[in-house]
Amino acid sequence: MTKRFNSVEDLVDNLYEDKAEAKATKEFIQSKELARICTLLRVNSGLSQDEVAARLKWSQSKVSKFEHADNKAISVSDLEDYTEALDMRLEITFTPAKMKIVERVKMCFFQMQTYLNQLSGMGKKDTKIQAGVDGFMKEASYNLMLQALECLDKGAKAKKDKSLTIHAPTLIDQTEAEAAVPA
Amino acid sequence: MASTPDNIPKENTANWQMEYADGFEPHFRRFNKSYPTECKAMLSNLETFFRALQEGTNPMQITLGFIHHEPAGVKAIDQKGSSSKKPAQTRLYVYPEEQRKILHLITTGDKTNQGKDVNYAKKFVEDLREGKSG
Repeated sequence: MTKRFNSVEDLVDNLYEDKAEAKATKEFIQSKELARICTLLRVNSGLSQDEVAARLKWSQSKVSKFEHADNKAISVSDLEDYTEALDMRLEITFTPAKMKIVERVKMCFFQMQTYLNQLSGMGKKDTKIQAGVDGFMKEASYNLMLQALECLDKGAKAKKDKSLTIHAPTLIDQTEAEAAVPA
Repeated sequence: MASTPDNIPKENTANWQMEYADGFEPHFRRFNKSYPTECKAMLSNLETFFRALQEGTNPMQITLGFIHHEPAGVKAIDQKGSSSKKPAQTRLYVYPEEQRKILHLITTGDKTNQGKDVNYAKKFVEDLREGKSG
């Protein structure tokens, strides 16, 4: 049966009989990851190297050099300029080197909470915007709960689960709830 | 998810896989003995090309500086980004078969046999289309 590979990493492990050389090759590939991400963003945007070069006022060869640079050779300034040329914004996050997955989940949650709080404050002076924000909040709550339950279900299946009690936030409008109560 | 905002990057939309053509594996190992740094660079570029395919980009619309478009849909990946100061001109010949989402790794070569290598890769694709290989 012909071998098939889902990743270049698997391919390298198979192609190189010398394990040290396989490791060095994977490290080399990884050392270009930042440039690779930028290149893929450019490809996704439909722009050529020439078009990006024109936006940046760089030469095409400078763009090519950037797209093949080592992670450590890319300056934050060039990275910022390049992402701006793709109509994107660069965001940099600092996390502890040995951050656990649970801590990452909490970090993402608190970040999301910040954005949701910003959103909830946007519709105070406009009922149309408020209605849009309310609609989004309901949808976001539903989707987040659904995704969390799916993840929980995967873990529960492995343990042949016990039953679970869920306290879900109400998705009913305050006004709808009040209207439902008899006078 | 009930909806996906437009500005969230799309997740992997295509399950491409890579597959060796007959003889690729031993040929690559011999080639790597003569051009180790170039081979590393070509594999790094292969990673970029493969990820672009995985993200759903049409192979004909992938504009990457290290890709050379050859006849019959063959792509030649070069050694740009090599750590060598004066790398040799080398090529990894591949063919993205869109129907089955398989990226065929056909052969590698340097400048001296470029014409022969391109014809070999072209023949591979023709045979594949006729059901004689792959």
